[in-house]
Amino acid sequence: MRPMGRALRSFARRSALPLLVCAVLTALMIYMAFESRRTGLNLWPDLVSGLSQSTVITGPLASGVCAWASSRWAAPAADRIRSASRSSASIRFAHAAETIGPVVAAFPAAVLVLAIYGMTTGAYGFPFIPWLLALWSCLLAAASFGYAFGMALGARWFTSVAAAIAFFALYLLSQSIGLPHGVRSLFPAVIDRDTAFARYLPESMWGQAVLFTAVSLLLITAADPARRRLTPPAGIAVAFLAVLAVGGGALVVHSNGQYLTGYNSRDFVCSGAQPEICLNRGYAAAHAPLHEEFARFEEKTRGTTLAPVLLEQNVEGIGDAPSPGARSVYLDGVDADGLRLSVFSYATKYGGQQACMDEGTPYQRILAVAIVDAWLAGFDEYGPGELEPTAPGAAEWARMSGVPVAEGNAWLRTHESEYLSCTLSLGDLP
Amino acid sequence: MLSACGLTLRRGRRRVFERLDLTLHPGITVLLGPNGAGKSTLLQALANPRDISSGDLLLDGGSVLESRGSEREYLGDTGFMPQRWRFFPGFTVSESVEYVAWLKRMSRDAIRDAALRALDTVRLSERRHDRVSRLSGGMRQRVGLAETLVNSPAVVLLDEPTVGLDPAQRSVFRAALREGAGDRITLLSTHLTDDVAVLADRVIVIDDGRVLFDGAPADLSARGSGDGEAPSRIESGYLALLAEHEGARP
Repeated sequence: MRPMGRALRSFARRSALPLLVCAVLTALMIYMAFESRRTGLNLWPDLVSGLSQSTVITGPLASGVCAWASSRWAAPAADRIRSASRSSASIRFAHAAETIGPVVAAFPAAVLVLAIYGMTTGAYGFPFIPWLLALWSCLLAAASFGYAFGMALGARWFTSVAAAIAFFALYLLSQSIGLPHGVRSLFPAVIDRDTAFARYLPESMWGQAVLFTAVSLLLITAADPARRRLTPPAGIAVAFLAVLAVGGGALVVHSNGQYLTGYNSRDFVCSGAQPEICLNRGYAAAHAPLHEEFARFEEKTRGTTLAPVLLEQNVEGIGDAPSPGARSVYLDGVDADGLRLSVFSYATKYGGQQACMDEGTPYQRILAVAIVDAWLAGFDEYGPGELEPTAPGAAEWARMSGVPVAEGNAWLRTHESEYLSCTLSLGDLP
Repeated sequence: MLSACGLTLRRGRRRVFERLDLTLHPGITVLLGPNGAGKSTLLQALANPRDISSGDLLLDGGSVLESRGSEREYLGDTGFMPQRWRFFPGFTVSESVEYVAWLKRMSRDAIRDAALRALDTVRLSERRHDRVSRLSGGMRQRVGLAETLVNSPAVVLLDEPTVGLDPAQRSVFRAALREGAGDRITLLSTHLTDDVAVLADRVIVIDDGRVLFDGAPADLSARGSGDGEAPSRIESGYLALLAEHEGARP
């Protein structure tokens, strides 16, 4: 045990900064994963979304610290590598493992913590493994970029900062020059949001994992402080890695860097009546509060075709395929805004707004329907609530928002056809 | 015995040595020469035979350049301290020496003992847990010497190892080198004729890619007048040799 303990102490001292950064990166990833959780929900896709978004920050950090470590090692190592009897590649890969290893270990460390959290709290779903591998390879690529950058620039005071800035600047550049999504996805950062209503498209993830891993190994190979020519076996390995990188990149571009597409697993738990609401199992906590919201909505729409009977949760309530007799409901979160937005989405999807989409529909009619929707959902953030007091519709909204439920329901029943066909005028409103 | 046979060495595009023949025997050979004479180029080529453009290098009669295996074996039997020896930041004295032992493909079991032995030789075993960055310049040079000796090499190559050391540090370094060199083939380049007087069993003077003198220190001293501004007989002989060579230039 003593030699092992000594080796570990020695490693800890030599790699103090990468180890510290490992802890920081782990904490950062966990923090961002937790920050991505939505109020009242405990979903693995939210945690994975946070992990994904953290790549924009962890990449530059990993790049900076690896540049620092490699630049300090490069100069003293150059002469010793030239006169070493061990192969140059094995020396460099051993050093890269010691430097990049702790930084890259931050990802599995964070995933482990999240897995323990997910298991103990019963988080819904399970992370998609190729997605995690792609994220891990992003961190590896960022660290390797910094490693090669530091080796090339040498030990200067600005080396690590320059590496971090260069990595981030490349990210900004890749996102801002109007490239197709597939080409943008060749940069090692993932900003896609995972969701329980998705079918995964693993081609891009595998493509990225292969591309970033191959590019990382190529960068480490190229970062030779002794600047030796490649031996034939190393040349073959480089050619193989280059082929892998090109293949991975082509797969990413071909699949347009797309990670997922809308999909409903119909893993529902249903409850209640008038309406009966079926929510994804992960959203079970939303049943009671959503029932309350829809019960109010049902009172206002009772006796009309808008009254909800059977609701099924779906992807943003659009382009979906609910069961016969059911309607879709979109639910973003269990907080008050999320619940009211859910009702509002239902009203706009099944109410008059669909008919208002026709080009040439007079603004006043659109406004009249919007006022009704806002009253039905009790949610006015996106329309009448933002009108200036003297603007057309403001007075009507003020009046409508104060109408008692029974009176409003009676009015809706008599004006249902005008509302649904978007022929309602402001003067028709109660 | 290490023999260079018809070596051609380049630095960039410039040809520094052309068809150089040289044989080194056990003992300390000091390489003298003015700046740019090619001392470092020669030492680096001997330490890193892949830099040799043409010719052959024989260690005990076997060609070093014959195959990658023979080259690797040669490198494992060589210790080299470059002119600008740089230490690894954050490494302790023993870690530095052990790291070089690892680079020389020593077995994991042997590394620690070998490092301790090398540090004993350079009188640094007491400081083995200190970081190299905290040592004085003279001590750091001795860490470099320990790194050079850690694999018990048959060939020791030292490129101006005493440059920048004060007289006391030089004295300690030379004593350590004398002890460490033992019966190894040691080639040491220097500007300091003191090094020749204290260390050399043999002196080689080079300039313009040519060997101007190859013999015993006493023979070099004998070339000097013993008067003038030169502080020692050896330096006087060395300067006389260079003046003679300068005069013979076309």
